[in-house]
Amino acid sequence: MREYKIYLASALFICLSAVKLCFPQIPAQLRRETAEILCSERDYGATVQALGRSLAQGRLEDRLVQVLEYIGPHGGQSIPSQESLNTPIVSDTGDADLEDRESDTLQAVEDPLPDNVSLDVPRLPFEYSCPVTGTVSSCFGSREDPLDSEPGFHYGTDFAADSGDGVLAFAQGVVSAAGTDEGYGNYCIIEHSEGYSTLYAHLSECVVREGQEVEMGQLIGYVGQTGRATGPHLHFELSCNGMYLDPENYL
Amino acid sequence: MNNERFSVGTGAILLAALIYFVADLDKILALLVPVLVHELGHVFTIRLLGLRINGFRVELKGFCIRYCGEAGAMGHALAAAAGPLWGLIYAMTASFLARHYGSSWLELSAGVSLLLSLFNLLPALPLDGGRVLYALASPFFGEAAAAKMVNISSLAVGAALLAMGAYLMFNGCGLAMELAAVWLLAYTGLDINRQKQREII
Repeated sequence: MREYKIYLASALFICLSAVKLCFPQIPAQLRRETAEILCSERDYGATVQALGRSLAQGRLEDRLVQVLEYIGPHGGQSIPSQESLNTPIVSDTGDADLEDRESDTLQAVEDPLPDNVSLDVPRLPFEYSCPVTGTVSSCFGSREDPLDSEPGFHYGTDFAADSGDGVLAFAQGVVSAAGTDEGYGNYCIIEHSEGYSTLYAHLSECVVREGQEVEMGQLIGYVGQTGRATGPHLHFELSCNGMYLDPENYL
Repeated sequence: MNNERFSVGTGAILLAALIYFVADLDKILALLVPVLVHELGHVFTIRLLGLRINGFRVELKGFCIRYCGEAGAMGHALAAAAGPLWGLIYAMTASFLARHYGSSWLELSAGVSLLLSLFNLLPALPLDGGRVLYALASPFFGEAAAAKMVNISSLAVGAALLAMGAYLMFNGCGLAMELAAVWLLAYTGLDINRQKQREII
């Protein structure tokens, strides 16, 4: 009786392995559907990973607050709506953008979370990969400005890397802006699908031009310290329709 | 009762097959390693307390370790709490190693282990927390009253999870929490009567 069960179970697993190898699109499709049912539009995998990471960083409270935000009354608005599109990522007039950020700074003292920031971790509707190999040197969130020690909000994640290291596109998309900004230095913005966009700043050189289509992992520039930077690093921002998300949840 | 030293239920096989088919291998391993650490934490502690392990059973409701021997209330509570405690230790270790080596897999398994441990510490019966509560309460209130207490606490935890899961479901967070609540409630109160041979999930 028991051996019969073992044979059946082995046969089942061998069959499944064969199907998985020959038709990889079937488990992928099932995975998407299961994720849809279990998680809806949330990316629980990314949340769990962020929880695991924050254990060592001693930022567990922050993450738990973030998890509670999921459950709390704001939990419903996970994908930012079109109406929230009120803050341009980079304004045309160079440093106006930085001033924008600084007026946010004052707000940040009273309210730890600016309006255009979301702690949600929506499931991204596309494949993505890490733009650079390096360690996180400054996280998304409230922090003291490293140059003038003013409190402020950091809209992206900084990766310490060596000057000249390649910066790769986070996901497939179209370069919507590439230029120079007093604060960002050489930067470029890639628009992905469904309102998502990523920004790469302080590049020593940007090798893509506006309007160009890029694939995930394609070289778009090199790490530098142009603009307001204390050392060579990549400043990486992820936003959806003007709402800034914590990129670390996806890397 | 099954007397084999190691047995696997049909439901567990089917669930494992489903997970194996749907999930990526690295995700499965990130789930499996914390579970193994959790169970080995129980086994190691039970052995350390000088108790004898009779059998190991994998069912749809989880892992059961049957053991016998007398270790006092604290001993039984410790045996039940050992899984989550080891899980938390593993989560911390994996998280620090992940930070050192920059491995996202280790981060994921640390997060899984953390959640698994916290969930298991809920004072509801098929979970370790319920067994800890039972072991600690029985010398003070007697076994029957302790069993009743744990049943009530299990139902309360199950109802709270069910409500939270329903809230999350209607807020577009998916079925994950609701499934956990249904699973918990389905098994609540089912195995409180097995007092001679204690089991640990």
